Amino acid sequence: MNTKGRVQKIITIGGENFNQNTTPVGDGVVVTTVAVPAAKPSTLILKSGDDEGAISAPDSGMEYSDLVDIWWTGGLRRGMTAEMDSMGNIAISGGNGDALPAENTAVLISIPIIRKLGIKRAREDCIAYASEGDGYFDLVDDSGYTITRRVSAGSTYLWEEGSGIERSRFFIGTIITELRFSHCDLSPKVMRAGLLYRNK
Amino acid sequence: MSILARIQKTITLGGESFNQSSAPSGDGTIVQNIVLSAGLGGAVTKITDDSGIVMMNRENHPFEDGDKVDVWFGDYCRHAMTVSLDSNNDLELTGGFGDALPVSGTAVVVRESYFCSVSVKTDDIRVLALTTTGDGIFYFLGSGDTPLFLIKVNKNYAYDWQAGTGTAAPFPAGQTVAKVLISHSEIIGAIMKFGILCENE
Repeated sequence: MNTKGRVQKIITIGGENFNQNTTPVGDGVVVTTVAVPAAKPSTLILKSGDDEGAISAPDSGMEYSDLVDIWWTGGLRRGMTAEMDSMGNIAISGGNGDALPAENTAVLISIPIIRKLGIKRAREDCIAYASEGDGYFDLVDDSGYTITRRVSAGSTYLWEEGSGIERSRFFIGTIITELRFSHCDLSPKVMRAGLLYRNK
Repeated sequence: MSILARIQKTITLGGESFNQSSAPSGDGTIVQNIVLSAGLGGAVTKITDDSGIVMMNRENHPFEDGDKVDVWFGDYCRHAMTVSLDSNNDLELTGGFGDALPVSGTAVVVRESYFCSVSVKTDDIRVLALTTTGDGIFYFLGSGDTPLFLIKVNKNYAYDWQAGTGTAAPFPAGQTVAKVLISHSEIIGAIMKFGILCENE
């Protein structure tokens, strides 16, 4: 059974319209709405490498997780492994992104919200993301291959098969296993993802 | 004086809405609305190398020595090739940029290259919007016709990019766009439009 989406764009620049009205079609759809908790303030108390150090435990009762994103002014390192050490601090390592800043830099910690998927050998027909806060969406397959999109507060990301507009990265015949949501706002923000796909 | 654009997106998937409504501002716009005529069908009959000499069988075509043409084959295209007519009135095509030409015998669509002159720094672009009624391409060029970036857009879709949305800019920083080459692969005419909202800094 076909599942349809709907896309309408009304864009006006200099009195000229750049409109679109399309109906993307797939045979499955995943829609996830997540209230992502607030990021927590912390401090980088130890830097032992560009991708290794320790942060103070936030005083909000936030517990460490397997993966955390570390944000600071002018930088971001995502997917760092976190582990509480014997001093009650959180050791962090690995991840991807900018080199960690200097010690004593104020940082924000966010724990990505993960939603499990199981879309086999899919081809995406339409992807839509929207976020209340500046955030990141990660689509991950069973090989760990990750396609990341940044979406600013109040903005929408959209991609449609058939639009001719090329994507820089694709899944090729793998199983899409996860959607991850993360933001750096100090209050909870709603993040939404929609994936219209066709099983191949 | 501040100039506003308007971007409104209404997207529904699985009963969930992904909407956006914004009014970005700038101090200048560049808008072009071009009716591009149909391309002409032909076939490659000889090829010497990827960007070398190509001959196309076609009688009574409008092309003349020195013209610049785009050669489409499927979704691929080599742009701004220089025409030299041979004794059979076929096109000998040289130069250009884009995809390598296909093998001999491949059907192609040839159309005169259409250039719009503009002058905008990529760092000043706040909104870029493109739309077309035929499968086509917008190729942004720097001085000396240096290719900077391209965006393909299919029939009746609209492309948009807006600064501040989190989506990376499709263009390189620190460059100046001097021309936009607009082309489509249809054998009927198509309307192609581009719009730029810029903030001159």
